[in-house]
Amino acid sequence: MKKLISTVTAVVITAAMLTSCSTAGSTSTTTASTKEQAVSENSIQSSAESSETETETDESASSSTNRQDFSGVSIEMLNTKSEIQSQLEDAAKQWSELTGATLEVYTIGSGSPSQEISARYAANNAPALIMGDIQDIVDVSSENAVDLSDQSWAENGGTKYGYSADGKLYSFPFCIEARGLMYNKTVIEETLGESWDPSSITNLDDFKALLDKLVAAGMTSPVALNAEDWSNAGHYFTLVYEEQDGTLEGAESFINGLKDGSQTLSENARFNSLMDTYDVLMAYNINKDDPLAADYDENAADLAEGEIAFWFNGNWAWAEISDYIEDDTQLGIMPVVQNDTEGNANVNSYLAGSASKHIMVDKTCNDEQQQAAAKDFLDWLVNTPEGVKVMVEDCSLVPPFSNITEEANNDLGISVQQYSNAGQLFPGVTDYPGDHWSTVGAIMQKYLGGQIDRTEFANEVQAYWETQE
Amino acid sequence: MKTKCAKLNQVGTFLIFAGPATLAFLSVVIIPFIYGVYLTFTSWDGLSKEKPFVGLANYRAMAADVPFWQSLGLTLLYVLFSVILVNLIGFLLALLVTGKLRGKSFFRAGFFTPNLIGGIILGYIWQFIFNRILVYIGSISGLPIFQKSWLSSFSGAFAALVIVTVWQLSGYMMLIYIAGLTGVPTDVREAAKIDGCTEGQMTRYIVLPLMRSSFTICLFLTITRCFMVYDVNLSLTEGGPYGSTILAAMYVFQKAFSAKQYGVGQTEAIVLFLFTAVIAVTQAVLGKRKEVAA
Repeated sequence: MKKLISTVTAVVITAAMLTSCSTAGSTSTTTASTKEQAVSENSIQSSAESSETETETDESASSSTNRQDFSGVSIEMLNTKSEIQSQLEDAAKQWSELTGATLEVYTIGSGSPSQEISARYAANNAPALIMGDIQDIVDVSSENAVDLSDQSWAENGGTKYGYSADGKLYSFPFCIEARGLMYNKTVIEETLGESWDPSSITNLDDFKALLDKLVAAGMTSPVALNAEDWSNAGHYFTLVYEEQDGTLEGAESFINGLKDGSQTLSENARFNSLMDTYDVLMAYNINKDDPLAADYDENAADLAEGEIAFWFNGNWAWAEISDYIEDDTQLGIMPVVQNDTEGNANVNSYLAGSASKHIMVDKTCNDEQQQAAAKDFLDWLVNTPEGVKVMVEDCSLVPPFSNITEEANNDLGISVQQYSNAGQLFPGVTDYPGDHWSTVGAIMQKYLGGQIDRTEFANEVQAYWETQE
Repeated sequence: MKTKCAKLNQVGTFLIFAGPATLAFLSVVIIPFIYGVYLTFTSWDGLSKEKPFVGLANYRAMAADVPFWQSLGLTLLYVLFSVILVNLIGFLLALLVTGKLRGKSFFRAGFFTPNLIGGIILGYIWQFIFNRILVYIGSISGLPIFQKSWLSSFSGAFAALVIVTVWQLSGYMMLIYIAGLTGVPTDVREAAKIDGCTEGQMTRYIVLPLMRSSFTICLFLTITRCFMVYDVNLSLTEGGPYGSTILAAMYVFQKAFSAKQYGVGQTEAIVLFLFTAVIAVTQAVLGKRKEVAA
């Protein structure tokens, strides 16, 4: 009898476990499906709601203390700019105190944003706020992103710099970032013993003459090049597409030409003139002996401390540079100068730059409350003095919004602002394949390491494009 | 009535002991595995809601994917070097710390410690050593072997991967070998000694055959772990320089999540699984056959 009782209890316990599991499963599926329904059916309602928020925030812009209450709402944000992780965590704390919501910011150590985002979507557990490069947003937005065109910041530059498709605005352009040759004006002038104006460098010959002068004056290696694939393929090589004629259409048709074979990379004028410049950079590279072991932080320190005069990178590097720089050192960014300007007369006077990081609001894995809270955080960033301070001062960004007039807090940002205000930025292409930077990056590292020559390099990149659909 | 009771009894006992484990195993291993196999027949990109059925297209794509076979070949080479070195060094360490040595337990703990450090952190530590410290040593001592960072050439980076793996795993294998060595009964050893065995002969003819099962276990563990290695690969070389050290697991991950070809990536993952399973199981069966009891 005892045995029977124990058996029965066992069966009951196991059955209870099984049913609780299955009910847990079914409730989770029902919540998921109601979530979707809610999103699709209540889109009108939610837009009405957010217009309310808009008016509220317009009022609150002056007195930023009373924000909508999001108590109990918990959201997560993927940050793919690891250099501003702690600043964003502080911002999240500030905003959370105002709204009662919890915002957890996390960053990824290695791997690309695209890998992280796919993995989170594969797990059906995407964060509410997703920061990514534009192609990451392009990949996921049509199914998963909230339309943000009703937000107040959309008119102030959001639509211009953000990612839109089918009349919907899918991304919050986080910052303008521009790439070019960063220079240390102070050390150049000290080394040469004369004043130096970056605008005096108008082509590669000028640049090479300056480098030779610097070498003669005792600076043995005036340039630093990064070894990272994102820097080489994602930032330098993409100039080849973007500077074809300086427009997105031009870049796109060139890429399509590479895919169908109507364009030959090795014969392209822009490719060759950019590679000429790259060869010069390689020849004066401080990491020349072992270019693939170059250390990013050391490059930053070298530029800040005047070990070198030029570093190919962009204004985001301020985060690292600021650790090493002395107050009176003057830095700036200038275009990647070239000798051949065929097809694009602006290559020596423009930086390559656009909104480089985009934030989207997920609607697949986050409910309406979470979406509203996420939108509110973005609104707080743009429309309150505290939020603006986070972007401009704490994170040293150049926000693309016209209502923000504060000058950037560092030389590099100011350089970018000047080019941006003068309209001298080449826009960035939005839809590189997700493996472009790693695959082309590996090919470019071979070139940097001296494993292949320019023809082989061009052929391998061409072959990569031909396999793309 | 009685038989019914007994049957119920049996079912009950089974459910008590094996029920939770079976449930967990089913839900986290078997079902995802079957689902994974299903995904190999779709052209899913890893994100979209639709998973279009494409039949065997992914298998054809995989067969034509030359870089995948290259990375699998590289993985085989890596497994070969790592497994031999890990077990050799692990066994020698075990002999060392079971012999007459002062501070045995200190050494045992010391050799085992690397295995307690996670693969990612281990990779970053060694990256720093290879990129900075060894290069620094090279620059002050003039040793040509350390002039350049090992991680900036293919052969150097590959060697670095093997070295770090050996450093991490041999302590773990040492523990298993120690258990094997101390498990050989002393009466057999004494008998051998009386019969006039030297130390070397005793190890060769008495101890080794009696601890074959340790070898079977260690080889199985190292083979499976080395085939699936990802963390050290990611943090130490990140597949570099110029993508030359991308091992199979990393290749599969990139295919699925960077190139957004989840179906093909999944297919290649299945192939990697089959490879590992066939090699590891063959090894285990062959090893078992030769085991002897004291």
